[in-house]
Amino acid sequence: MVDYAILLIALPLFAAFLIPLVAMVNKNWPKYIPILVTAFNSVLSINLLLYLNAHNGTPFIVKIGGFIPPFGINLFIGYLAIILLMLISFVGLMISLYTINTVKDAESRYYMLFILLLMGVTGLVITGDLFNMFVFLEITSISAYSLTAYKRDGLSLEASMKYILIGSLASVFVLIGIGVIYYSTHTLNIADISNHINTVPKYIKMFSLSMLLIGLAIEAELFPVNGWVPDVYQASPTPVTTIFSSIVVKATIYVFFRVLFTVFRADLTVMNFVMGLGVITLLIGEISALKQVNIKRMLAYSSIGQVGLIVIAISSYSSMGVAGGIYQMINHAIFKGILFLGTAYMITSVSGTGKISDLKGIAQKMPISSFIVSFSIIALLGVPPLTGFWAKMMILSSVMSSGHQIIVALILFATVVEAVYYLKFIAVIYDSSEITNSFKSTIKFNKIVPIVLFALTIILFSVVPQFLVKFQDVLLKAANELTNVSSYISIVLGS
Amino acid sequence: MKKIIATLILLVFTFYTYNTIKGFRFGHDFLNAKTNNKKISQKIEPAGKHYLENNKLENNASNVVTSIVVSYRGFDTLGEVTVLFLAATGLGVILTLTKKEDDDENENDSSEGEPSLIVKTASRILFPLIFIFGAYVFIHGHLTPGGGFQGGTIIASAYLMMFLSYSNFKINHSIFKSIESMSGLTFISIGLVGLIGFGIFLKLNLIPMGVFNTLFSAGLIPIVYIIVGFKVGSELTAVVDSYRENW
Repeated sequence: MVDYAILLIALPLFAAFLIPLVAMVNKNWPKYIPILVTAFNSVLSINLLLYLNAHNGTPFIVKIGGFIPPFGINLFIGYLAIILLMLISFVGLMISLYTINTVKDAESRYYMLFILLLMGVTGLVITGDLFNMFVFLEITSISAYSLTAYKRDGLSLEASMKYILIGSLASVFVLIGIGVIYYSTHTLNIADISNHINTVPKYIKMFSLSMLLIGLAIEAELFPVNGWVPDVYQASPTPVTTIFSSIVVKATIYVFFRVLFTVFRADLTVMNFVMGLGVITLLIGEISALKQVNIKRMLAYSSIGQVGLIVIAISSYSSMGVAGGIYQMINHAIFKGILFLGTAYMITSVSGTGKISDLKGIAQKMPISSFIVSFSIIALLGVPPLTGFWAKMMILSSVMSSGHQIIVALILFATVVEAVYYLKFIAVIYDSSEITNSFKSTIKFNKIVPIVLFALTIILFSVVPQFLVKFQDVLLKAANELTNVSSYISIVLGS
Repeated sequence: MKKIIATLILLVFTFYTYNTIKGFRFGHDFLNAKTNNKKISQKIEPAGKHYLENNKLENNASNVVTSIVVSYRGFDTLGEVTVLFLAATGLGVILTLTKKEDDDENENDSSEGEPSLIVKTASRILFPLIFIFGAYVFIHGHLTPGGGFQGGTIIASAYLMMFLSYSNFKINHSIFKSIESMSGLTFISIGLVGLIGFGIFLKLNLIPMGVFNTLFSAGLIPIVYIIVGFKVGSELTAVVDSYRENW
């Protein structure tokens, strides 16, 4: 049995409660705790992957408290959860390396919130209970509010306030939706609800569906309700922004589709509506990114656009499309990791304010970072041998085969827009003129290492063909876990 | 124009919500009453029914609500405790902003608005009583209505009363912080004991279950609730204190 999978949540929680005590002993120790926790989680998730491979890839459940599923809370772990877990712990590890000595006057509280944010996201990905999902959504968003305000200047307090207002609204919508479902089905277990959802009157189903759709769309940064994103991304400390963009959004997109596919067994009408939202999100995100002068803001809009692309892919409902969406999630997490961390590293070296023009000609002084950032931009745009290409190829072919030619055209148009502002950015950093601001060369080992490791991951995904073939197989299985409702129910409740 | 659109959306939303929940019967006894909708009553065995029937056997707690909160859905309770911990921490992060600037002004008018002798004496007498009542509520959480969250809140309210009646009343931050952390760690450790011994996280029937409806019953449930009580009490007190200090 793999009951130790619960340690993915229990250990970070233990560490977070331990931090205040550790800080009383020595003020310098708390900053190493996130590294230990994320490293442990990485090893544990690789271990679970090996376990799953040894057992024909059938997902397994973990019963908490020893109660059988509809009555107790259970975790559901399959390939999809493990892909996301590995992503969370790997990106988390890289960012906790980067964070050391980065955030100004980071005290023990910062590391506590950081670990709890990662813990909340981990819980979202593996839980099999609807109310438990809400609890983890709360943990994620409350730690996100506090981390947004961490710099404590006007900008970050304003952003945090906006985030709190809209985030609480999202929580209320989600809670009402869950309450209505619980009233009609008398159960909170996702598999059990899914079993009974067709006995619920249609208007009640539609009501709770729309409640959960609005609430989760706010968290997943979908179009009409994502106005908070650029402000929050710009104002929070860079490691936190990277976590938001690379991990938190991915987990909330997963929750969004788990609720649509499994809880509500959504039909094609709903999926087409969601696909429409995805298309608008993609276009608005990419077009707004064009005119930004602040790097973090530009990357925030680009991140919104990518969310749109992932949502389009998964809502196509075909196994190829969902697999492509999951692939794009992984790619985007790694690319945005490099872009946010790399550009922040460059900006601190020229002591700039975060404008793109501050980085004019930075490539002469920082050739390695500039090269890696440009490399990841090229991979993000989807230049053929690199990993971004394969994901986009899968998405486009599945959308094409589901008969939405116009959406294919719109995705390609958005890619062109994306290419315009990203290539303009590359042109700025490779400018031949001298840099204007004072440059102080600070080679920090803990900042270069995460960026280089991210870049190595891109190469691994791009050029090792054997790995790619195996990986595609895993992706298709993961897609099947998300879309195949009856196998989900039979795994959780038994046949 | 904006306001008209907002009003229209709100009206549609209200109509929609009203129509959905007007058929709901809150507080309706689903288990014993015959439902009109036969489709639902046949197919669904509510989780609540299982809890009522098996609670005595599985948890031996006479308060079913407690056994649902702590035992069946103990993982959620762990999450809720974390949410409170996060809220207290986050508040600390945001409130330290104004601390430095206002330090001098606060000391001047601290003697003003001091409550009268009656208020001071009464709260000094009431403080231990409220404290004991809070402890009673969380120790008897598995027998009577109430529990860790309620008891902890009562204890925090005792401290709030002391803050209000003595303007120079101070608490020892490091002790409160330690209690907060230690109780969180103990909660998880109880879970981990079950995991190591039996392969089940948060297994609460590790110790003898005792006699039904007495103080020493229900396995580890009262212990978990006492821990939650300590945690909630220290956290809410810290929240009140951080508001007061940065006023």
